[in-house]
Amino acid sequence: MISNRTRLSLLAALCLTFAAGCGEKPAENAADEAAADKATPQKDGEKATEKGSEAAAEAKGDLAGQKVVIYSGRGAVLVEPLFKKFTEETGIQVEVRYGKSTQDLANMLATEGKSSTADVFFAQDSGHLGVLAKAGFFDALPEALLNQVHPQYRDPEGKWVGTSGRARVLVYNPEKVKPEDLPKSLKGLADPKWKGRLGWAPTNGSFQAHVSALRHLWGEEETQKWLAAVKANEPARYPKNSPQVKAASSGEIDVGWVNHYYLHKLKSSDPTLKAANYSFEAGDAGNVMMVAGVGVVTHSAHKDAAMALVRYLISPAAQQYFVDEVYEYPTRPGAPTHPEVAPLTEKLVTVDQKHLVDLEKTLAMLRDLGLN
Amino acid sequence: MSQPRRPLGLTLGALSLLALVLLPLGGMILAWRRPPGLFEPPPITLDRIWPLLGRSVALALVVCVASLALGTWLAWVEHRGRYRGRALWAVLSILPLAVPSYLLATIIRELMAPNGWLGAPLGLQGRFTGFWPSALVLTIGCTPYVHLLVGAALSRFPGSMEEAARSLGAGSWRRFTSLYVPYLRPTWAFALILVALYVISDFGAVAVLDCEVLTWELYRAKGGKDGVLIGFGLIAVVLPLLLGARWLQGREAGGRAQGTHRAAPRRSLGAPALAVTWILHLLLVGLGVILPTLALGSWLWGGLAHGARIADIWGPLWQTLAFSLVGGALTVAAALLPAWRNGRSRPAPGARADWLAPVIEHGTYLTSAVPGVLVAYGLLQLLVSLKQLGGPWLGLERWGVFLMLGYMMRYLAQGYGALKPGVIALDPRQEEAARSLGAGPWRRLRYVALPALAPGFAAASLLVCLSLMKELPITLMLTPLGAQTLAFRIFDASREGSLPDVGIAGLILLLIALGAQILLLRWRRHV
Repeated sequence: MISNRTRLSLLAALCLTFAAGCGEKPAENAADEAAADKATPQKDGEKATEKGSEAAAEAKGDLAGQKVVIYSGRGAVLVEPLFKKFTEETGIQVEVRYGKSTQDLANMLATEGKSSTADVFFAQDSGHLGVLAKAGFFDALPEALLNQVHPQYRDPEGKWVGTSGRARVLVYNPEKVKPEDLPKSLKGLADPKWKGRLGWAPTNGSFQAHVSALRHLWGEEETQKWLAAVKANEPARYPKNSPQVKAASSGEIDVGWVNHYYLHKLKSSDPTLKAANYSFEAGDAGNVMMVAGVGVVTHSAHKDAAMALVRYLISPAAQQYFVDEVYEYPTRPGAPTHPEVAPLTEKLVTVDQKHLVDLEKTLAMLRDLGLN
Repeated sequence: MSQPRRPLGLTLGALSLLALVLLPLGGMILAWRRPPGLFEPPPITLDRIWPLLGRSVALALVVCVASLALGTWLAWVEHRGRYRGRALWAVLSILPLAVPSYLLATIIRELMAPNGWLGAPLGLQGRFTGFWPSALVLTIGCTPYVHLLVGAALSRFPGSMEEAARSLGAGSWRRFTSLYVPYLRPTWAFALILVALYVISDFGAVAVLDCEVLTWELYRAKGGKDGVLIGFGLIAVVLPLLLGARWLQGREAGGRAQGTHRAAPRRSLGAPALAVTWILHLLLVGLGVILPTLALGSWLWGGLAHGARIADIWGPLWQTLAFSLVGGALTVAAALLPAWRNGRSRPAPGARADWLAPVIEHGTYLTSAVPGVLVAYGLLQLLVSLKQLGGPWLGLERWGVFLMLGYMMRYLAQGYGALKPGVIALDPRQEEAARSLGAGPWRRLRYVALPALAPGFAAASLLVCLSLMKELPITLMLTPLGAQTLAFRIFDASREGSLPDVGIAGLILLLIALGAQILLLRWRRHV
């Protein structure tokens, strides 16, 4: 039988191998490599738009049979029907990798670098799009395409474009809380009267992006103080947003901090759910819109097909899909919202997308507070 | 008595298998050498780790003790007792294995909420979260492991020994302690390891039930260098456990019961034993199968009644069957190699100690101590490195080669643990007798080895296939493009609040588990 000492020395040898690996000079950064040959593909992208902007029909001739690989941080049950429609209309085949989260997929793309087969990155939130764009993973999109979307819902640098929006709201149980007792501002959640009655999901991407927005709107110190005060109210912690809606209904919490569309989605199969959404007064930092969006991957081998998909996702038909099936807000100006979803436009606070990118500082702040 | 020789080929095979399943560790070392990814998580400090480590170990201990006791009791009454509904309960009590831990945790948390199906009548207030709820959910999920393994061992136990003891006047407690305890020790040791590995590397239940343990830190640090460190930390947690299991196992003195393969007699349960059995069944099957089935059914019904769109389920169903059957077959076949190598041959007294046996055994267990997310990450790193070389390597992802490798690494221990007691129990004298009667190797396999191995094979296949069906992190990262499984559907749809989709996928998982179990039970009886 192997002695304990031998076992220990085996372990030590393993650790040493690690230490050796650690000391060596890092290999060339995949992101840098990707950024290095950025220039050429951009032309392809422009070429694709020159062919015409409402290209779905036209694409069927040229691009039918081509394939586009999507990395989707958005849920399969949400977007797969849309991808199927895209294939039906254009003849372009779609292959999708879904991830546990947008962050996981972004990390995966970064790890794979040039060896990735991804052509399009479809993110649940703009924070990760911003990080990828900054690291040189995306081509610039043509102006004509960007202009189809509300200026607030696209990258100021033109590397990605928003496809739909989700409002940050409170979800509450109307049997336990009257809407007039809910705070006028997000800051009100720090009030001790909410002790033991709140819910939140600090490991969730939307939560983190909202905290990034708060850091910009309120400043670092104010945000940190507010988070600490809410934490003192002992909110129930959830791994994601949707359980908070059910938790409000099942009496586990009175109020949760979520994205607006889960309520509508859950109510569509269970109208008896005892839950309602609430938005703060106009201009409050609580009324932030989170944007899902897409970028075309720089080293994609199927740029034309990728561009066709991006164009499709902001086309009126796809926008209508996001409105009808996902209860989201359209990013195309003038497109109508779902009749069950409260129109928010005049209530929203304006946050430049670039402020949602600074994820690392947000994560550090949450960690210091013991929230994440 | 002559011991079968240990062929060198088997040893080499077992060792190369270990080298193969340790590949993800190589990938993690590659990851270490790469520059940081997009999001370098804040560094991990030891003062954060200690409390989490303590809670991980405590949770593993509680769940191990609880599920060992409950699983052994249930297996005992199934194989030695006689009471109404025994066969049905036996089938139902394995089903919690098919429910992913995060789904079970979500459902139970909701049941126990103040307005929940159980919370309201019980008058519960507040949240059903933290250590004890997590221990409960994990115990419900792990007891079937013990039940299956101990059940397989009991069904191998020769009735003639029990009869002999009885005729010598040994009472039932004395028969249990002097006959069964030594016989069951290796099985308990394996079961203990499987349960502990499951609990220590689980993230689903503890995330839903807000119980911060070591895997939380791993998920925060994933992709970063610290993640790899935590992976090795988890392995370090498991090492003392392996030693403990080794002690429990004894020096493999037990395990080989000799005598005829006639089944031991069943006895009617006394009133107290019957009461305990019913309470356990109601608790475990109620919380682990019946209430989840009702919850899933009500979600699906809500969707159907209100015309909600339900996503295509056939694709994920076929994909799940394909992945879990192929992965399960590969894993069990692979596990037979070390199990046969270690179980078939023990040194004769006075011979040189077989120092490779514990290396192979512990190596097998350690591979399964690495949480799925790290296995997947390590293999992904390896895949990326290979893809950068181009050429034939590109096909590895498409054919799911790395996915299968990940499955094997993650579940080799389950296959090994379930198979080895059966291999140990093979009686070499029976084979010698068959040989001397002129039976060729195939006939000997068919009529001597296979019947003895059948319960172990059934248990191993069921364990591994059901675990693969609900596996998520490896499947998510290494699955060929475009493939989706039922476990992914459950995760994806519950994240998006699309509960009818969760309902149908969860019910199908339960149905598959039910079908698989009935098939295997019949097979076990007929071999």
